[in-house]
Amino acid sequence: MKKSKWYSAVLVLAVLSLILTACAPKVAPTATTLPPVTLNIMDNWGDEVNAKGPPLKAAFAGFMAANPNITIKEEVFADKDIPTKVVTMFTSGDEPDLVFQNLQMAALDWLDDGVTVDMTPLAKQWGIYDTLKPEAVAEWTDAKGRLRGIPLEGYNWPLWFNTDILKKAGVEIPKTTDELIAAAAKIRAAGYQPFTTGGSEWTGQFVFFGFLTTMLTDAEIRELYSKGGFASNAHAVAAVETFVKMRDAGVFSNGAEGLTVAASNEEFYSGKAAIQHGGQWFFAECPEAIRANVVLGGFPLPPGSPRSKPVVYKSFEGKAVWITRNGAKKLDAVEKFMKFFFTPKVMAMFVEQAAMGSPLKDTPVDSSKLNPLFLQANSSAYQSATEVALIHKVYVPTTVDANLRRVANEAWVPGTSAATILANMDASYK
Amino acid sequence: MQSILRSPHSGPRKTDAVSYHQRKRARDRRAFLLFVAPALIAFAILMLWPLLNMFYLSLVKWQGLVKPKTFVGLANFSKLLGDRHFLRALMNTGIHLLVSMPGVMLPAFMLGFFMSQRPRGFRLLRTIFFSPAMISVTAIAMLFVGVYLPDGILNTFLRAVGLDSWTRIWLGNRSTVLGAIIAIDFFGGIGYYAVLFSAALSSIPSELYESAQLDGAGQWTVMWRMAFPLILDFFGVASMLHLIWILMGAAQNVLLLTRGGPGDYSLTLGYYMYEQAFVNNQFGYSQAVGVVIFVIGVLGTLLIRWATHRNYQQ
Repeated sequence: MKKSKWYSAVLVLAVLSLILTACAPKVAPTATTLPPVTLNIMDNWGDEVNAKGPPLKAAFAGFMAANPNITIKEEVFADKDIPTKVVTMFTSGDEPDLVFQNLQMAALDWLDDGVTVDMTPLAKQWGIYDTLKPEAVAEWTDAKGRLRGIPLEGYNWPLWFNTDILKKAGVEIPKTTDELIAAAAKIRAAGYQPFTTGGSEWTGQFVFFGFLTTMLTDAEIRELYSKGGFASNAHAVAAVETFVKMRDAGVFSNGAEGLTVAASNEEFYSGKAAIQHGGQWFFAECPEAIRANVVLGGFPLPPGSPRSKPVVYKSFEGKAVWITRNGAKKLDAVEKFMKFFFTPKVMAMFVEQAAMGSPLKDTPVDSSKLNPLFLQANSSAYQSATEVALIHKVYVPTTVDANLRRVANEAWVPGTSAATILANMDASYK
Repeated sequence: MQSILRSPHSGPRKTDAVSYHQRKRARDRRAFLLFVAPALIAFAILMLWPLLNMFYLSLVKWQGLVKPKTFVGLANFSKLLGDRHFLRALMNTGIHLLVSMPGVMLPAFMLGFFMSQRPRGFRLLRTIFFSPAMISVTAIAMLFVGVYLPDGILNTFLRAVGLDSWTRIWLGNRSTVLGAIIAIDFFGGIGYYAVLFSAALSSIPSELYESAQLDGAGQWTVMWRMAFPLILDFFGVASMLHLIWILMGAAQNVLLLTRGGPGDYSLTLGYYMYEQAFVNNQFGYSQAVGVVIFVIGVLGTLLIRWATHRNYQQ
């Protein structure tokens, strides 16, 4: 009897709960009722030394606060290691959902290999496409008309002249390579290193290629870096010969062939060298005392250059946000992230705190917060005094890249002749 | 009836004994196979298969982990012959072997012999000498970055003793960079192998040394004419380990310190194999370099074996 009463009570409760549930008003799912999603993001900004780290962390925190069901799991690696890591993880089906990566190395093949997805329809559908600067979209659109990633980081990549040292040496900012050679001798006589660069690393590679750019047209850059043939191109031959002449004339720091990026930056930031080649991403780390004397300019032109003004790089290939195959499986969460991230408010944080070039057509910023070098690089004085050249690296085939970079580093070693450098550049393509 | 007439040592009993022994041998063989099978299977999966795969991959064109593989026969090997970076890496590895093998192993043996004599404080010495083996390769590389920097420990020391003209950018100068990389072996290797040699030498009875010294043998003679031959086999094994370290392990120092530069003056085969695979996306070509390293390793091992193997029957 006792047992049957117990069963009856349970039965009544069950029926009541069913009735109450059925009668309950229908409620739209709130953020807390949505299923939890984790977005795995790989980037090279999130470390403590990168100026873009704090705004990135703030953006991630802001996004997660607005979307409590979405957790961002960030993995930070050096950008040169990211292409290999992503592909390796892709083979095991474990690649991150979103990747912050520039346009180089294996990343050039990601779309063709199915590692990432075409962003054109998604960026249009999410209303981001039309907010982007057309030149940024153009750089990130491949030959088949596919948007590789949503462009994120734009940059200027000029030469930095420490006018305090130039003044002490009694020279002006050189506009030609002959002027540079003459200035270098006077700078040395004044007790300073003339032009510092990390000849053993990537900054040395880009100074070498930068001097080549002064003698090449954009069409030649596209052609030569895609297929090789430097030794049979008169402009390329003249450019390499001029580079060797400058190297042997002592234009560059002592032991430039062995300097690392950190060592050469330190040489410039400590006021020991007069000139360096540094991208916009270095603006935030330049000490104020040196920054006050820095005037930005371009690579001086050799005799017979097809360029009309000193040459600089300006590009949006610095970084884009790529969606991988795994990311495409979480499009709801990815869409929310992209719509949150590519807004003027978030982009302004990067511009103000890290001197990043915004990919958006309209990014209102507080100009009082902007880095003086950023303002200089965007001034009409700088833009009218320099000529923007095509950046070569997006045309170099993946399987050629490392060999060509090695040749560029070899070019810094005293005794390496122009003929050897040119032959080795072409050999990289075989 | 027949069996009663048979002698106790006649055929059937002998046959029984033989078959018993045969059965026992078969049983032992089965037990042996059962016990070694896990090790053999693990060896086949973890060692043999990757090795065979390396030979296969050296015959294909494979330009990225997600790219298709195309069989190209020996094309990767013929390309190696005309690849100046490979030839430079081969030469640098040869120099590394020629300098580091005797340069590390012989002083390590001498130091090991010294420690085996149990001098005062030998336990502390043993700990100090072995400590580099307990530091990660990355930490050692960072240590040497500090040594070789333009304003690093080495140049600071040279300036302090008035040798300013000797200062160099050690990792950036084509004439010093390979030496600077090889020198790291001396830091990490001599103490490590010395402790191993010391342990091997401690098993030799001290009476042997004492009787030799009574016969008038000096320390040098005892060390090289007695102690060295007694642990020659062990010396050979340690030398093989060092050979393998130079061929493969030392690539880590190149990766962390110079990436083969300046130019290709510190490029070694181990690093070139890594670079071709993970920087240049030439996986097939990289494995052709791997096959060359394997062949050098096998030849080197055989040479060491030949030089250090003792034939007790002679």
